[in-house]
Amino acid sequence: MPNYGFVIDLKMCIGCHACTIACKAEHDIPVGVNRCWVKTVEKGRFPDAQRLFLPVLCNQCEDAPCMNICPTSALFRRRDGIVDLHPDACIGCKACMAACPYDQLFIDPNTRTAEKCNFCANRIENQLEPACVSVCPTECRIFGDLDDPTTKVAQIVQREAFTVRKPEKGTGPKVFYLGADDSIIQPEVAARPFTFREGKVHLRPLGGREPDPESPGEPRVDYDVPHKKAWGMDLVLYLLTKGISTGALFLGAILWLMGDQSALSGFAAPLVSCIFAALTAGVLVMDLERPERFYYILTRPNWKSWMARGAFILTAHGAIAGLWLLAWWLGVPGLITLCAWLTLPVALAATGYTGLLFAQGLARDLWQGPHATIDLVAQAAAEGSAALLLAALFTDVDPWVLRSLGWTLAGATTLHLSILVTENLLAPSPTLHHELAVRAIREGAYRQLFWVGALGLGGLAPLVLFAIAVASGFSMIALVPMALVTLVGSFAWEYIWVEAGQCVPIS
Amino acid sequence: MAEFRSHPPVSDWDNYVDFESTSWPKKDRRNYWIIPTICFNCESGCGVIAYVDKDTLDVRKIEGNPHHPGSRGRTCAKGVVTPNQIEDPDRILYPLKRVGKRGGGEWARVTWDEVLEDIGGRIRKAILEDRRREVMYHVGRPGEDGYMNRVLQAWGLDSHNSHTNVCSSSARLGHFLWTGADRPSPDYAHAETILLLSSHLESGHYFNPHAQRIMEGKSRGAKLIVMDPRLSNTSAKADVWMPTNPGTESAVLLAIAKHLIDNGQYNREFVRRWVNWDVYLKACRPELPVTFEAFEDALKQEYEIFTPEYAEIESGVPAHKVVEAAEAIAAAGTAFSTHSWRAAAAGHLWGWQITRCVYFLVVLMGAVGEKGGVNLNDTNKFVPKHPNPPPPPEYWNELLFPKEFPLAFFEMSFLLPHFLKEKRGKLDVYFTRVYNPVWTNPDGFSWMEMLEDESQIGLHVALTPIWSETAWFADYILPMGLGTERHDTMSQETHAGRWLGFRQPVKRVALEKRGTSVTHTHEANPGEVWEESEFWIALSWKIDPDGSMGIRKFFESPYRPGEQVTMDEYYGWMFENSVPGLPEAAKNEGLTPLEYMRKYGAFKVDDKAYSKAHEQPAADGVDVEGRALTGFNTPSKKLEFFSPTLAEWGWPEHAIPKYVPGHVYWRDLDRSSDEFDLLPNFRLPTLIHTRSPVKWLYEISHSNPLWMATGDAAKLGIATGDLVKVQTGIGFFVTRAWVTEGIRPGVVAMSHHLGRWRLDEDKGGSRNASSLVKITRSADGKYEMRQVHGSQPFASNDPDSARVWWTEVGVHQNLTFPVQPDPVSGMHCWHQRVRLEKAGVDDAYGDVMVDTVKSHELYLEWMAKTRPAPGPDGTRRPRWFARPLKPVPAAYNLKT
Repeated sequence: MPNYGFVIDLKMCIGCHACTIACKAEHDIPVGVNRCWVKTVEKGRFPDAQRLFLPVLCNQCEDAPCMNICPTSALFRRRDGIVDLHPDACIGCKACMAACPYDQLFIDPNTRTAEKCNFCANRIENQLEPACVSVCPTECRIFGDLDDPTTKVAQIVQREAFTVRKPEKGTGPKVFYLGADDSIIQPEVAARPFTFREGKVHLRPLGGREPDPESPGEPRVDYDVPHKKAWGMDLVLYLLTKGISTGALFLGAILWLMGDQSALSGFAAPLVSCIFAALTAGVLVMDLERPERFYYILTRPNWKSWMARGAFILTAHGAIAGLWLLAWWLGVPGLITLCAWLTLPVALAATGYTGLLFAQGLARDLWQGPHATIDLVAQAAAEGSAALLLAALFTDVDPWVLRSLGWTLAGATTLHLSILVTENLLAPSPTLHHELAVRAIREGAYRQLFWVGALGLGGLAPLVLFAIAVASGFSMIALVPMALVTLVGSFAWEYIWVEAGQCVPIS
Repeated sequence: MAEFRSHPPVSDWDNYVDFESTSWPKKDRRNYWIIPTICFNCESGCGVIAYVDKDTLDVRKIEGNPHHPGSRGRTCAKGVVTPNQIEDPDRILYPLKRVGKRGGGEWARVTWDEVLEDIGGRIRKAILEDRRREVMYHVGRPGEDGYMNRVLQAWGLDSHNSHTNVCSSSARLGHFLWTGADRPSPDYAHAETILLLSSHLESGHYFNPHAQRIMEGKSRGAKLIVMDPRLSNTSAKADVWMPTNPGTESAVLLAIAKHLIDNGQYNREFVRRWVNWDVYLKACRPELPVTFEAFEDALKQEYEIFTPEYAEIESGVPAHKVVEAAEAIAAAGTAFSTHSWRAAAAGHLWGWQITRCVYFLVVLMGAVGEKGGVNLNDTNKFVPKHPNPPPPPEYWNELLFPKEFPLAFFEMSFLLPHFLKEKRGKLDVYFTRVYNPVWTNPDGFSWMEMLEDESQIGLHVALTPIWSETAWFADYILPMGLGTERHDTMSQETHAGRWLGFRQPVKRVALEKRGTSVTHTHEANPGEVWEESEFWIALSWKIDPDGSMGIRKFFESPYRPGEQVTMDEYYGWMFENSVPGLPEAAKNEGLTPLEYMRKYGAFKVDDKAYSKAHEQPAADGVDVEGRALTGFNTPSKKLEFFSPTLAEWGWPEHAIPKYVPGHVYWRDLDRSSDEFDLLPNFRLPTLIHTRSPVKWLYEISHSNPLWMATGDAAKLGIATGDLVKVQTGIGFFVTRAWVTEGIRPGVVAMSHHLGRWRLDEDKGGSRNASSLVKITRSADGKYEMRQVHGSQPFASNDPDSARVWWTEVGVHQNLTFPVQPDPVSGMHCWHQRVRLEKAGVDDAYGDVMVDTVKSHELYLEWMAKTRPAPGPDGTRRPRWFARPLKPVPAAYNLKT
């Protein structure tokens, strides 16, 4: 079978946007979204200033992050190597948008499903070149079978020095550029202005570098299409509600197994967990562009996708919490004990899988690395203990339980705080993308929320209140505010995590 | 592996089965007729194919026509958006008549019968009462060759007015004075060195066909030299970018010429044979012997001062770059291509001298009609004869060619409001046809004033596919077809070859393929949109219903005497009778010539036309070393280095190619009071002058901020995005700055396309591309415009209307420009001497203020520069000078 790819000779591209429009016409693409476009960068000092053009389209990666993360296998690979999409199977979860390092997926506002370039598979099957190739006045785009040594693309890739977008992502892109300058092919390099040469900058990525008036001639983006980020407040709420649900049940299970057979561990923990598990499911469904298709994730799961895996883990977690609640109601302590034992691995998995899901969001360097999973566990422990401490207001609790919850919260917060400090203030960034995201957190758009919300309310304040609690013999007067600020601080960090992760330009 | 095709093969065009992409990967098959036509969105005349759905008859998409020799299957962004135009929610689909006062914004739908009766009757009366001068046809984008000229001739009118004097007159005159042909036809694809003074890789004159071939030449190793104060996309692709001080281009060009002459790198033999050096010597150096050697010495003396160092001082371009360019041209020999069109030539007083200096290099290299060199438009553009040609008009219309401008290359169109103000005439019926002078021309408020005055303009008829600022001031708005909705023939000198393109209404053709008989295109078009060719026929029959005026006969069938001619008959006749080779090519395929053109949409007349037409023997030719050769279309049939015409018609100091700084000369600018040279006439690859307000194009380009050099902006404390107030000779406008390293310091620039406006929330302009404005006028002729809001999302049949995310749609700068006619070519000199300041608290984006009293004063100042007719023989204009509609010879005589 063929293996299709593109060569784009940037020396020949004149930045006329004919490809962009031909693509729009071929696929009747709505306003505001694009399958392909031409980014423009200006760099250099007069009279040696240059303008650079970069036509971009889907790379049809050999190891396609969008396919890996797609929970319903709506994205699939054709036998000719093209990554195509079944809109009928798409639930609009936007995970593919979070996964694609090249910014090539979007939600089509007409169908409310994901869309992407498929090298015009509909034309290819008619033996026609893709629309962007057929239209190009200077024939700078060359299309063909990379595995057939007689084709022009194969020959160029064999013989000439080419560049691909983000080779470090290891995705095996199949669009090869001739004559690409770093300042245009690496999206983080050029500054992002607030006005383009021919119009408004729409949806500017907050973490992009601003042009520095003191250094004219540094690379600056002249034109780019607007890019919507994949995830927003729904995912922030998801992180919070899920952390409370899994943390509360996990700690409830520990307490129960340690001998606390009170209503706090026996009833409040599964109740809180159930309520927040339901909220978690609710926000996740709400976040879908096609919420009515939410069950596809269970009926046609892609087992490679942490979103699909997570759905099953979350379902199991919710089921255990429900069973536990039922056991309490029926008064069967043995069943509760069984639930508690089951909870330990399942709640841990339900907490931690999110780290792996975000790491499958390969577009975003901030989300990569194991610390995220550890931090999620720490946050869930803090959020769960905070929730149980608040629940303790309504029920009689042994002092050792309060002490345990207090110490857990303090310990978890200390771990979370250490991770935040290490990752955002101490450790060097592995990539420029990561550095820009961290810079946005530390000194950019998210700095107030980070310093006051995440570090202050979510880190230092609980520890100070914990010290007061210890001094006051674990008085609820200190424990309740400690729990409350923890939840507020967690929320702040989870917001930053989702938003700052997506604030760096990736195309 | 099978090869991929760029387009479906023509054998499939009548039954093309495509997979519908919007329901992909379902294999939803759709059946199409693929019908070729010609794009109507710029002057290039690129071939396109329309995919017409066999079930719905909708145009699904537009692609390039692979059988078109000029565009070779490729199109630009503007061509592909034709379906956007067809389905534009703000499109005008029915004829409208104004209700209430003109410009009041109230309209009523009328029938075409009423329209034809009213306008036809009025023109009939004007002709019968010998008020022919009061009928005027004013065209923006012609998009056809010869049809309309014939209509006006048939009516006996000298009434053709055009847009050319705000566009290309100076470029044309510069070429014409040399060769007698007003446009060059460079063979970029085979050139060794290409020198561009226009941005042909993004706009220029034939953007798509030329860009293809420039890049083709470049990929074969040609060196690209671009002269532009601005980092255009073309400059960005240049091997040598020469950002000159605007208006000093000739200093560089003559320095290159001097380098070629001094180093003996020019084509001595060609110059000796084909340049009228003897005339020059006799006129300017009578003391010298009339020998070529004497001429060579004289030439050296003539351009002695143009050293690279001098060029550097004048232009700001480093001397080494000038030498590099000269060496590249020398190395190219006859494979030297060049073009000068709208940019510098259109920008400056004496801009036509810039073109002459460019062409001087072509002549020095002998690159005329050579492979890789520069052909002439009259050898590469093919205009077939139309049936039954009417006689030329018998009088001279001074509103078009007033005696102040005997050498004006085209009609003095943009001065019309001032002419009417001076009571040089009035108009009874005024057609604006795909022409938007209120917006496009300088001094738009004077146009508005003129159009509003019913004593000056009796009836204003706007023929347009869409709303425009000008149509708002019409009495009738008549919706005319887009590129897929009309018949025309078109050809352009896109390369070394000749072709004829055929535009056709694709839905009509589809209906006919389906077996439905269609007698008029409007039956197939959306709403009641007519095609102009049929409109003029119908109108002519109304003017002369019984044939007694001698007009009707020109609109009768060549095959059915006394019957109204149909489109099939009109174009069928042309294809049968005036396109060499077409009947034979058609016959080979078993088709009539008309069927052939309907099938392929284009015909290649010839190829590889390295004509060297001047070298062909001709009985009445010019004597070159004892042989009578065709020569050129100049009076001497030689290349006129020395123009006797200029010398005789009052401009002896300009008789040879010369460097004269323009009207905005850097040495004159008062930098201490923040004076700048505004370059307002650059174009974008994504927009058409006034016909491109469609969603997919505006999504990319929707605003025209003011380009400012970093240092200039810093001095004024202006950053990108800040509001700047730009003061011109007659007013000011307020826009945003875009600070860049891509422009020569001291020059500011603004794209010509944007800043469209409308006066009503719901009509008068495309809502996704215009701002709603309020115009207030004071008694003393001062106008103020303020934007109420920019573009906004709106509800329509197209869900995309609600997704409009751009807001500011540019600032209308042309309103604030006084008319600045070049006293020779008549071209409006676009560059403006402006004063910049940071906008104040009361200034808002898009504010415009203009004093029309001041604009008339400046008009008079520029008129004072002219040197009126008569010429040496008592005529209004040199007889050899081109005119779109040449009147009878007697009309040239100026009565004294």
